Amino acid sequence: MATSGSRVLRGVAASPGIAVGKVYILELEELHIKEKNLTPEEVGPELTRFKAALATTRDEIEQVKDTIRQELGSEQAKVFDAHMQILDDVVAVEETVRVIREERKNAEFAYRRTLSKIAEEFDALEEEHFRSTAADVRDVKRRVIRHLLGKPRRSGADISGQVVLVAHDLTPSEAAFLTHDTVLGIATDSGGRTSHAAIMARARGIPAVVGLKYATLHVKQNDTLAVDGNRGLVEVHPDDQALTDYERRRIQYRELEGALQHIRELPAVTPDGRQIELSANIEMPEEAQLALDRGARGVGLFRTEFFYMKSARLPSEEEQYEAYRKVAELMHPYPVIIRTVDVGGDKFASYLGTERENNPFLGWRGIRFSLERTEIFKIQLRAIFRAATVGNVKLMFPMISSLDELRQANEICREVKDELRSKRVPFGDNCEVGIMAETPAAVFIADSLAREADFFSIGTNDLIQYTLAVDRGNEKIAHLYEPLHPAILRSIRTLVDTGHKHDIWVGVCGEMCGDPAGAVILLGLGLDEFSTSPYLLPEIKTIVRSVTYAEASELAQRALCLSTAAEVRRFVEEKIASRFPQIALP
Amino acid sequence: MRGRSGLRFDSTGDSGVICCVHVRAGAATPGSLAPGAPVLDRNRRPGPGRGREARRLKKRVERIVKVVNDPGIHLRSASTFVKTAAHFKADVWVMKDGVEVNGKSILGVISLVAEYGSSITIRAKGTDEAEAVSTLATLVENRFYE
Repeated sequence: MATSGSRVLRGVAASPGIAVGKVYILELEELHIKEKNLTPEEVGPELTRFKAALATTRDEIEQVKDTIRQELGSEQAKVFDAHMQILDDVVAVEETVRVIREERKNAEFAYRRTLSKIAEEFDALEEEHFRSTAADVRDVKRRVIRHLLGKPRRSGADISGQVVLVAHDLTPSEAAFLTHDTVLGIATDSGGRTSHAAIMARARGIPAVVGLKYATLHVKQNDTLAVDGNRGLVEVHPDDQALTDYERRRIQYRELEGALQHIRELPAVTPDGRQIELSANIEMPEEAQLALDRGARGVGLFRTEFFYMKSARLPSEEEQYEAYRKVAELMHPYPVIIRTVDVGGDKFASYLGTERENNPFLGWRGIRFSLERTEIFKIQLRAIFRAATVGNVKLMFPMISSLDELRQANEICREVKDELRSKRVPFGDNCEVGIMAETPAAVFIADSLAREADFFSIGTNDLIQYTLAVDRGNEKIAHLYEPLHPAILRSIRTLVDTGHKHDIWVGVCGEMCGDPAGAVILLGLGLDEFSTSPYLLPEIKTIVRSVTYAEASELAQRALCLSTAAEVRRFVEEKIASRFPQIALP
Repeated sequence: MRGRSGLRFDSTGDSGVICCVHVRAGAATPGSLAPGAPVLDRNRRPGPGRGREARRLKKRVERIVKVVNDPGIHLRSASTFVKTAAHFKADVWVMKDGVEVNGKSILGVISLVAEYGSSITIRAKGTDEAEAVSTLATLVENRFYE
């Protein structure tokens, strides 16, 4: 828990593990450049100096490429081929030469101005795969300017001891030099799970959180920073208590990793015999194996936005079918719950007609999109029903806020099945169809929904956001985002009780069940299934295996009687600390 | 139009030398770059007119190909494209939506934002122009052999 002076920032969990250390801000070493006017006689030597810097940089990139090729393979090394071409790009070089020759400016000024402008022009692109070229341009720019300034040592070369690296972004070149010996953890403002920094950090076993937006604004050189690569959080200036907790969790994570072979085979069952279905949230088909390796007994949330966002075109039925089938086969006999596409909100693609909206989370997203673009919806449903022939596939609809939506969606499912039947295409007819329970409306009409859905999976992230009216991305109010708020506990209780009354199972696929205190409360509230990030599975399983259902229920019942979030949090944490000291609270 | 403003490359066509043209300001003066002007300027390619220019344009070697790789010609595939183009003596240009760039400049090629499903025109001029165009077109059609 953040205390005064400390600050918790939320980003994307990019590489697992916990790290605490002194901050090293990579971009502090800004390359200072003075604009100089050359005399006509100086122009010739300046051009020679520029060409020499290009040649040195060429050698340097070649070396990095070789290192990366040997360590991570030629696929990862390809980006440096592109950097070499940016270095030698005719537009960039000729414009720099022109500025030196005609405007009679010094090489570093000319090159920086040219490349910065090019990078800014890429920044303005909307298509992410093309816009990201800006970072590569800046990477090359920095290399060349360093050589022009006679500072061949790259930023970060002066790291002594072990540090937590903080940067706006890590370029491929910077990421290539990160080693376990000097870098304990990584925190960056930008990037996602597939950015260079994330790939490199995972390959080298360095905990990393990316996409923090303002990490570089909130930390200074030598601050103490904790990086929780399992949950995607970093904490600046953690107090003594927090430091002790991070250290415990760091050791616990390493122990759990060491004992993974053993732990993953154990059932997720409380000492008094209550079984929890412990499954994983995945975003990409490749993550299914990771989930299995870490003891998942199924996929509780298979997000499918990836297929729609990876390029500017609709994913075909075959492409989706193949991906769903592979995951279903791999997981068999365990269930795979595929969530139909949830575009809109913060995920928009102009080819789908979804756009930046004034109020995106209350806008055209989730099932609202699918019910209007039924041709897109049907393709996905066909792929899911067909994949259901080979495994235990279930599907669920996101953002349901009325019974009409569920009925319409179910009706479209029937139409799709009829079409498949009439065309004699094999499909799984008994595929369970449930809903993500994530709007306050769904809580209030849970009884009607429960009659027509096969299960509820509570998406706590959105349920909290909508119920408390808090956008946790907004720093001014992020502290109001409180999973243990009485309104949330009561909503979850309603969903569980109503679901059970109608004989359907109720699970949780939000971050709340990946939090130790949250997991204990959810266990006590009677949830049947937890689905969380694959990296958190061993930790959550250990909690389930150490807390009796009877005690967790009592704790949950008493927590439900408290009136404020702070009271609940204090009560739950004290209880956990005294009753289950083995649980390390984040 | 989506996010295309600002990224403007220019090809002068005839000479094959990409230079920066301050198109926005009106009078295009190759070689002069006002502060704040885009570096990656691009120009609209002249359509076939009359006389010598039209005859020259009719003779040019070019092919229209569809981009079939995901997510389009971005960093990696542009890198392959440019590397292949560099093998030829001929000058190479790539055009999309009426904007043409030097086919040997990776930054130019990426700036076209040639997404999956879009069509591009590959044109070459020089001793091995026919081979250049057919090799590059085949490369695009075969998803850059990725």
